[in-house]
Amino acid sequence: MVSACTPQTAGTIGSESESVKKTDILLWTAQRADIVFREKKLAEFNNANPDLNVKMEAYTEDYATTLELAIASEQAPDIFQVINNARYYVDRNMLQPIDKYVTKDFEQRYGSLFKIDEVNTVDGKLYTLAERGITFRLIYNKDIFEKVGLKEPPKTIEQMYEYAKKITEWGKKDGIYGYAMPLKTTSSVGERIIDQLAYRNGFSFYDYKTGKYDFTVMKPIVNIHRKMFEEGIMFPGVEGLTIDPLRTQFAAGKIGMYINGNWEIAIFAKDGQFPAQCNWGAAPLPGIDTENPSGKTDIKNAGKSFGISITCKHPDLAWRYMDYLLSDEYLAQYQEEGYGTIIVPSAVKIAKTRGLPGEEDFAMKESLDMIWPVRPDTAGLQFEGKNAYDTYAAIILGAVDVDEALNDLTQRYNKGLDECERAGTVKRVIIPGFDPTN
Amino acid sequence: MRSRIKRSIKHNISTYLMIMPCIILLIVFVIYPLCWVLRYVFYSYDGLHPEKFIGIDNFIRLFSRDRDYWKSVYNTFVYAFGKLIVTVPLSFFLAVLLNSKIKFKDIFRAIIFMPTIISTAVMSLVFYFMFNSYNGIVNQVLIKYSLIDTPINWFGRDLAMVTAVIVAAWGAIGNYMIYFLAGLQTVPEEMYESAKIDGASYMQMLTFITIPLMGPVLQVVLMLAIIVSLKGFQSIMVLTGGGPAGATDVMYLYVYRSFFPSQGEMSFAPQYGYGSAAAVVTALITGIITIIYLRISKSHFNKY
Repeated sequence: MVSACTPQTAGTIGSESESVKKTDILLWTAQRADIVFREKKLAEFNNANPDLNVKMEAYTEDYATTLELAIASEQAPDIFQVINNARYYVDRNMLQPIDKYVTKDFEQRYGSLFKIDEVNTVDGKLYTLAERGITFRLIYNKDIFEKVGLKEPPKTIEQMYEYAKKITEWGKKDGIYGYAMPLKTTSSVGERIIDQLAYRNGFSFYDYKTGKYDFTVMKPIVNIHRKMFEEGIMFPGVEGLTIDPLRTQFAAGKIGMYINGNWEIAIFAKDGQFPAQCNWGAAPLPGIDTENPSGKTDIKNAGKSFGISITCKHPDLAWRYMDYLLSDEYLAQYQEEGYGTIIVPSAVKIAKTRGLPGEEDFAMKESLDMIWPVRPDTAGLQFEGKNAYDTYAAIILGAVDVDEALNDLTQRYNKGLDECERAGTVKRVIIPGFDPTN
Repeated sequence: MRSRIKRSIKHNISTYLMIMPCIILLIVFVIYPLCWVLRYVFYSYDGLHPEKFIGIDNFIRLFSRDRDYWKSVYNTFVYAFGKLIVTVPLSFFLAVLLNSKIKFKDIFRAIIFMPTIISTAVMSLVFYFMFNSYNGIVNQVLIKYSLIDTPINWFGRDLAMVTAVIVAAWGAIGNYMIYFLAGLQTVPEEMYESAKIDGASYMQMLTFITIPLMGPVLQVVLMLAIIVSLKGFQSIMVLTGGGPAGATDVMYLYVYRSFFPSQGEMSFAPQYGYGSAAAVVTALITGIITIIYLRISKSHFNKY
């Protein structure tokens, strides 16, 4: 492994034979999809900064474990991609604060995204900054909708069920189905579909006002999916479906609707992983008993990007590269070249769109998207039995009774929270005036 | 006495040096983790906060409240039994077939053995694509030859375990076939010759000579098959992930998830103490079944 922060003597710079000491800065990323872009920008930076030699390594397989082992064995990179909330890394003593490097300019550029408690700020100290964000929408095949006679995407979950039923009845003979979800990856179904539908309707299974779990509120959402599964409306074999096969089937025009994040823009583009063979669009997630839900979906991965590791010996030099990584120009170019959707307000202003299908539909809007506060179960909560996402899947597949399963989840998560709070391992999050509809 | 020990060490120094790497590896990768697990069965530990001694609470939870674990034990028995009844007769049949004088038997042996040396994860991934209900080749072939009208949901709750057994059997048959082949080659040719002189048919020779004389090999093959089936979880992890709704969750996959519970981008807290307790109970279950089998089989096979 390359040892980080090691001063080296480099060759001569400029016309004078003055020797410049180069300092190695090692950066780890968990994403391979944007590596070409990041390598290109890194080379530009190294050319403009002769005293630094920034290197980048990508660890896409089991990144979290590799990183923890590297820090424990003092072989950590200087900068690493932050994929979890800052609280997670601070508890494990993996990140160092960046407050002293962040200028006032950042505060102005980032606005309300500057400091988000627990997400990038812990006990008032800032550890990382926002960069990209994943917004969630209902993705639908416009061609199928037109052929079935549906004028617009569903606005309520009841309509979603009706439309899916219509599509399946119409297209089943040709292998076309109304709705799909990647049920093999229960966490994807849980956090990207079920939880997001709840957020859009202004609630969560964790009540931030009281600091208690109540899974019974999720009943209408899991029930509508269970109904679609039971009645054979869903795409056949959803139990064994992961997101990529689902995407290929949607791209091939076999699925009417599904819910996912804005990754799909680049994936279904002409030069993407699965170029779409159909016209498609994305709509705000539907409401429960209302066409105008007042809640907002959670922007995933928001509020965090890269951080300086606790073992970095030259944090000031590492920050110089982070400053570059988070500049408006860098971020705008990242989005313009189709690698993701940036959410930093000052960069959003200058970034041009590519005009890809779905780009406008997925664009972050204040009326549709927000960053929800951290829940104890994403910060190390221990509890007995199946997690909520495995339980949602069991309910949808009809393996357990909905009321019994949701009550059991409520009881187990609350018991776990009480015990962890007593043991001092997890903090109970209570936000008395929390109102996600404002 | 001391000088004798010294002399013995001096005399065998090269032997000790040669086995030293194995001993070190055994201590580091087998004995130390085993001691670690045996210690943590009495603790609550998430890998982050200091471990807390909780006595036998992990076992109380396992035996009194954890229905999911016992469902995984039941699933393991179904999986192991299914795998055994498919694998053992089929591998024996293939061994008998490939022990006869047929053409290209070496090529057939190599082809049938090949799945044994293929990575379980890769093999399971290929089967995942073959069996998927929307465009998997298995359904396409069945529909093409009018054996079914609508695609079979191979990974549904009803059939997921059957699919897991088929995949496991495919991966194991070649291995057991080789054991049987080795056994078959130890049966003296003279016995068949004298049976033929007495006018015995092929089936009679198979029933009264081959199968009884294969007793000791069958005993070992069955023991290995039982242990491997009870411990197997890699192919299930790739194929179904233990789903749908726990329908293919097996004991060791359950234990694995206690140590590595995170899914995708979702981080759940690991439960090292509880996972250790489950691992110990699982190992005991596997051990007890193996001992029972050895007792029964010993008295049975000793007849021959």
